[in-house]
Amino acid sequence: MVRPHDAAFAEFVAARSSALHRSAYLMVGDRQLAQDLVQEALTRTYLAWPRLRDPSKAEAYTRKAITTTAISWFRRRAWRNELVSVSGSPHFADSKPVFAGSAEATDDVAEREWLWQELLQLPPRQRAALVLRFYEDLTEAQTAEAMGCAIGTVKSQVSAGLGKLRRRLGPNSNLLPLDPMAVTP
Amino acid sequence: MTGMLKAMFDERAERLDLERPDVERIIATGRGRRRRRRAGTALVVLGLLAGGPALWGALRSGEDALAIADGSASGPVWSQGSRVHLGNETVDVGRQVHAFVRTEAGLVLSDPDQAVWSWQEGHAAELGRMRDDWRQRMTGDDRYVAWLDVSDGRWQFAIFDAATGDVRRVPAQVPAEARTEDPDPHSRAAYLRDHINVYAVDAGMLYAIDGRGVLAIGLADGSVDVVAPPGDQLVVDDVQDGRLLFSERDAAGRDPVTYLEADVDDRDRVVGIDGGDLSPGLRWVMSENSDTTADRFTLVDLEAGTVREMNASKDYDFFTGYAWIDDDIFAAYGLRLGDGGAPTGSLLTCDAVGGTCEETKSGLSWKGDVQLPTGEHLSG
Repeated sequence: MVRPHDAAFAEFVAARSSALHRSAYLMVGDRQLAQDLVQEALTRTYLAWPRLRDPSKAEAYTRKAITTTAISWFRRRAWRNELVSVSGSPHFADSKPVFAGSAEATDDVAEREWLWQELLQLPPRQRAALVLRFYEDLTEAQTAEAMGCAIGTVKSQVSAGLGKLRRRLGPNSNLLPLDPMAVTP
Repeated sequence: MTGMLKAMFDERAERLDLERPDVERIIATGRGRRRRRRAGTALVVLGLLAGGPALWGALRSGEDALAIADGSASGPVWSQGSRVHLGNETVDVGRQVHAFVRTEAGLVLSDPDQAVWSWQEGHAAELGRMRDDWRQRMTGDDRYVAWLDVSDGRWQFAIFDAATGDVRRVPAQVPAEARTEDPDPHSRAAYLRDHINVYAVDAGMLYAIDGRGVLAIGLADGSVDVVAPPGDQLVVDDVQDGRLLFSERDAAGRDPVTYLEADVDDRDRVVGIDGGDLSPGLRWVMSENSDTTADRFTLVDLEAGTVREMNASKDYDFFTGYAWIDDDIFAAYGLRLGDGGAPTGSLLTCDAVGGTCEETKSGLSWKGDVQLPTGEHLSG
């Protein structure tokens, strides 16, 4: 029997799961892991649905579940090593570093490939903060809510993440925002 | 300015080959979890004292096993003596249950000799043995159950997988000082002696403490990561969606302060309780104790930053919540001492939003043989 709130939940999943899945993938860098994360987060959302109802609340709830769980998993699993171990799997086949250094970047595609690899090396909270701020275009307050932390922590995580990428990019660092505050409100 | 970073994110996201989530499976999983929670299966910390002898023995199978396995039993869940009550179903396990939890496939129990048993589809299997210490507990989720195991003379974190029947053992590091007799109660030795244990399961991780500090142990692979070094002397009360409810033990003996953070290095968000259980949606946390008073049930609305009064708690001499059933609904236990008679216990279902409770079972005798599905022994 289809219950009214099941139908509304199914509608929410159909409308928003792709976006949530893409965001989860950017946070964890692994398609299957992102899928597992989204599946679990949506199950929790279903349980909370009677309270959430409003799709915007449901999306925020799901995003928070994805983000905090992703941070938790990766902080505790020596994630750099795992990324090395899975980098040869099919869904990583197109993401090999194009070059080891940064100064020789010759085209946008190569730069973005390199940046992706560098992003994978960031600590999970810095990475989540960058995804939420620069992919999801969330405000600092919304990012703090999704990460379950203070706004000040978001600022410091974004700043630290950008700083590391900028140092690694070297001469190309002007391709990154200098002041995260100037990028999005 | 979006620049290179945003362009890279967009490009990567667009490249992703997506599979549509299986909505029917999500809903079926959600319904199953809701049924199990309503039957009182959430695994929580309940800081009651232990004691009381019993043994594990004969088991029953048949319809009861099915009801347990598929979570279809509804109503209050408790054990008394050898009988485990699962809503309208009762399983006679032959001898007294010391502590128990439910899984998606059955029960995991300990007996008064500290042996740990699984019961699935009417069959019992001995899984290991706990320390003979009142602090011992089982913790887990629908699939996994963990405890500190000493069955072969070594201290190990045991993780039982109800789906496969396998037990994984991860050695615990136990410094010699943890075995010191009567150490200074505020010393590191006392901290280790009292706190080497399992604490919570969340997102594929078992949170435990040993000589290395607070650990996150992969349930599926046994990988170990140190979340907090031992010098911090933290106690993990609960973990939900990667958010840790933890307190820092004070070497000077002052009351511990409880925090809710995604990272134990952060100490910004203070919660006015001592120990507690997070609701599945992270809106609430409930505790047997306020930050200043023991045995004073405290329910904190984390969204509003306020304490919710539960008027029903005043009807009992002792009252505490012990399991979250849903985001806003929890199972509670109330004890009335009576006027010279024997104390009697009641099981309740409470609405955190409305601040109301309804008794689902009353008149439980209290002789130390009634147990709730918390993984810890309740003393009489």
